[in-house]
Amino acid sequence: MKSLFYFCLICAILLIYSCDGGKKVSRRSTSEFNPIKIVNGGTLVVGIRAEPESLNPLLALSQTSRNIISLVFRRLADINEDLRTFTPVLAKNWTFSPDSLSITFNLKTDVLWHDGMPFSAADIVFTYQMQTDPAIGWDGISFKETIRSVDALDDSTVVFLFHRKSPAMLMDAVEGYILPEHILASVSSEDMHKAEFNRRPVGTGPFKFQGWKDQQTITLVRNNSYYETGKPHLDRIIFKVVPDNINLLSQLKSGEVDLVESLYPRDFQALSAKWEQGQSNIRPVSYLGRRYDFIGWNLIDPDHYRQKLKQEDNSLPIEDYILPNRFFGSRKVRSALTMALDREALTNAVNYGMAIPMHGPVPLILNAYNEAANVHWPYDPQQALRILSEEGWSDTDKDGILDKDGIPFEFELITESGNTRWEQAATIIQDQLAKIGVHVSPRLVEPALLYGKLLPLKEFDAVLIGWVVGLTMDYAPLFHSSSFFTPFHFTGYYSSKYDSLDDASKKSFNPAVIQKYYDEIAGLLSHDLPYTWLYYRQECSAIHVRFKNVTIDKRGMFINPEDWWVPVKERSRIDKLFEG
Amino acid sequence: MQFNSPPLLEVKDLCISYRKGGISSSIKGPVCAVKGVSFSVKPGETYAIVGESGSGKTSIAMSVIGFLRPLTGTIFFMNKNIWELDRSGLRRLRSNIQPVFQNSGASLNPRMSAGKIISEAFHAIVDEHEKEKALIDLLRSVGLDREILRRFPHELSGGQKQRLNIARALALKPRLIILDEPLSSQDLSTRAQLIHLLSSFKKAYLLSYILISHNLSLVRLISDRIAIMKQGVFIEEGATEQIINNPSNNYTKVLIEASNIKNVKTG
Amino acid sequence: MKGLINILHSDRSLQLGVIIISVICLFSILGPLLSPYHYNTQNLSESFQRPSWSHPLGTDFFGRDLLTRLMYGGRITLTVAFSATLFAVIIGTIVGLASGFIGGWLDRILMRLVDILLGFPKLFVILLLVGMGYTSLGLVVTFLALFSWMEIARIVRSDVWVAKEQLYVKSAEALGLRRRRIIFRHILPNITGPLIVSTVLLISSLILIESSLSFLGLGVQPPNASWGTILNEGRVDPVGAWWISVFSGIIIVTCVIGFNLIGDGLRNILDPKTGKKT
Repeated sequence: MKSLFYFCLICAILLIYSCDGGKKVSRRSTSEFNPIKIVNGGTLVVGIRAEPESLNPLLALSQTSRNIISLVFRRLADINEDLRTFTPVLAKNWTFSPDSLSITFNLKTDVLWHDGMPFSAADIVFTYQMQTDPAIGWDGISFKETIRSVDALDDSTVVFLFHRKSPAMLMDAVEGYILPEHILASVSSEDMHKAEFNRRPVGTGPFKFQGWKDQQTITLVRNNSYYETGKPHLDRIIFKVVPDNINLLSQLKSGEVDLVESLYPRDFQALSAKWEQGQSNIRPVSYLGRRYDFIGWNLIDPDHYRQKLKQEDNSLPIEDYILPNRFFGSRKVRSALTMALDREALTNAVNYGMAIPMHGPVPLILNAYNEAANVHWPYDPQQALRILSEEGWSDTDKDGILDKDGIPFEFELITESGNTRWEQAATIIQDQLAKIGVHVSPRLVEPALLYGKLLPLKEFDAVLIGWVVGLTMDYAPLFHSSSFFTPFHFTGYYSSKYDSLDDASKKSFNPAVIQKYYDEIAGLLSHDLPYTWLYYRQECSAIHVRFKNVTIDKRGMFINPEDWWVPVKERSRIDKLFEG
Repeated sequence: MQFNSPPLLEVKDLCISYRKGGISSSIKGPVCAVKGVSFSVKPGETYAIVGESGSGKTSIAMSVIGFLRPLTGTIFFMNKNIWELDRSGLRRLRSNIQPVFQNSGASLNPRMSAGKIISEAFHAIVDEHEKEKALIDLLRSVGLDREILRRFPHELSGGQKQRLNIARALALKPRLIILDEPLSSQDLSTRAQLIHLLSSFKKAYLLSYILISHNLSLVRLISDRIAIMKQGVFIEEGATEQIINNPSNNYTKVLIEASNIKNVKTG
Repeated sequence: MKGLINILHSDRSLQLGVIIISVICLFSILGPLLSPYHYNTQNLSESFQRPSWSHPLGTDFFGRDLLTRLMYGGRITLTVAFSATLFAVIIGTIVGLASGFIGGWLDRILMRLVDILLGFPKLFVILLLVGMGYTSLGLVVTFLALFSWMEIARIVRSDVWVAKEQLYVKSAEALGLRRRRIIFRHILPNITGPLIVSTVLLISSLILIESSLSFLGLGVQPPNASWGTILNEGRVDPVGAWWISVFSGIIIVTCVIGFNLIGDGLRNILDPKTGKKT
């Protein structure tokens, strides 16, 4: 994780949080956008499928939790759309020391916690201590590895001291929401997971926590002493738990819910059709998400691998574990299988058009994404058949299935049960490969079995799953030989060329050089095809049209929530419910 | 008749209770159906047990055939204590004791033809030809037509059914047949025929009968000795004529009067 | 043959049930042969077509003809239900006969076993199986058979209990016949009535259970289908693509009703207590 290479990966995580920019609205300078006089008031109801597990930034993992937290808490600074520069938030400004080994932050002095206590440099120091406490186990702890110390010079000045120079110093320093020392100092790290704070958070954000009804609602109200005077505009934001999808949709349509994130593409398409016909006041918003699906091929023979593992001999070189898989050991076979797939049709079918076919490893959302770097394998079943026959696979016994040395080309494509999209994709792949005489048996496997046993022990032929571009999204765990025996490296891909590119990319400081390595990696992986990347999914959300100044894009839901407002004449029953 | 030979069946101090299992298991303590009954039956003898229904006579019969384990007491048949035999021993002994029940219909398997029912009784005979011959002979002796062999029990008359039962009981050439109210559900003319039939077999095969009945007038026609039973005990036992003509117990007298046979003198 | 027709004529619900089941069986056996579509051929351009002349029951997500898939799914569902019932009846009859006829300690052990299995957390077993990755069709049959013979065993046992006190059984015993002969020639033929009735009812309940097992992922794997998995596929969009859940639901319910009618009819005919006796 610690290198320049990680820069691009981190970007993906940061996109969860608010950053600047967007096509229409710049985050904190919206006044020139709208000539109409903005009025305060109104209630936003967000439909969520499950309760957040915690509202403590140190413990939250789910998207819902992070969304709510992003309204209640603030960072020192937020990353801008270019994913390189930052806009001050709790910090007024910052300066690098001449030796570039420390950053001094000058803090805003007029910021109050929701309970009225003043925010100060002590909170920054305290937050750093909490974030790096292994007993708490914050999932962003690796951001702070380069930091040597954090010290408060006075109430409004903090100095971050680093072990060494790196381009990511500022990003490392500002990552993570700032916590109130005066509340959490009395909680020991061991008790942090059961602190009352987790369900009654106190932050410095535009909205403050008001109440949490179990399995029903979480209510946030306007922070009247928010440091940006006059903001936010909305009176309150209610997160309403609606587990059932049909119910959630009907509440969205009836106006009981105003905003839903991660709609199913099919539902989203139906909403969009209504919206375009002007029959609906639910505005659909789609943007690049952070998820993609792929087929992972097992490049090595599972039985051989298992036998070698049984020897429990740590001195064996990795090469000894590798016996090429009788099907997927050959790069050419993998390329033929890739060419036999109609990725376009598959993508559109299972995502109802809300995804983009993907040809290489780099997530589309990252700045490092460069489609030109990927090797493209066109849909060409005839060419696929030719390649397979060059590789010795042909239908000698005329049973409709290719064979080689008496072995028919039959394999199991495992996928996680309960995920309709993957089940459908597997079924379509089965059908498409059957057309070139490759017999695929889709098999639905429980998540625990899939991720707990089959993948880590490489006990499979081929797998269809997806990744979330996030903290764990690093190419080394997937493809670098140093992680050959770790759970995510299930393909058995082993390439010294990849290893050296990966290592080199992590040693570089120059963004242009990093990008060069990155493109080379993309080219190499999309040529070697340990995965056949299928598609990058678009996130589908929808919000009621009465909310103005709303920016929802690839960076997430709450990019500028303090700017959202509702014109008085468009107020709904729910808006008025609280006006008394 | 020769009654000096050793007894075929000897029952001593028989007590039967229904305590275990069955319908009365909810009742506390043993319900004694039979209390301390002793009697013996000699070869070729017809021994009648007479009493009201519920007096315990059927329990004795079931116990003697080996269906109802007595609480105490012994049952010796052909010098063997039948309740000390193992299952195969009991099974071998059983061919020598055969029951004929009151309900002639219920004792025939409704899903089997008359022919099957009878031929099943000849299970000891392996040779098909020999079996066929024995079967024809037996049918003739009970006065049944060959034609009925194809019929099922519900297609037979009451008399035919009972003849079939008797034929089945005779097939194994038993030493003792237990007749549990064999005629009470038959009409008068059938009764006469069956009585005649039973008497003739008794002579032909040196059979012993235990005749269980509530009807003294029937009993006196074919029995050599009579036991009068009331509430699980024998209150009087003796030769038929002695009991009929000279009852010592008041209950016996009542029974005799009720059956209206006092004035019918037989030789 | 004539007897069979007479039996059919003697009871209305039996008649109706036999007609329903015959139609469904023909539908499942012959249907796939006659259909212009293959149950498994995808046509993504015809995804989620409403019922029409070319697809009388519409198409599913993959553009496969729903009618053809239901006909084909019937084969699997009925095969699973029939074979599981067969095994369940064999096990249940053997246990019931042994328990009822021999009685004593064997009866107590077997009936405890029945109690344990009846109270067994089946869902747990299913989830365990699915969790371990065992999802084959053979396993479904085994599972269904193993967890459904107990009712049969209880019925057989109590009937044997009654039958063995019958005088014709006593007479057969007095003849010194072997136990096996008594059980199979005298007792079993006389308890077939209730046995047949509960067998038919078991088929119908197993059809329902198979459907719910498919829901949990135990059973046929895609692209093959049983009625249960097709019903499950309808969950993708129960409102927009209503025809999938509706038609697969209808055929499951119809089939269950058909078997129940047959069961009721047979009970009327075979059980002397409630109706006419043949």
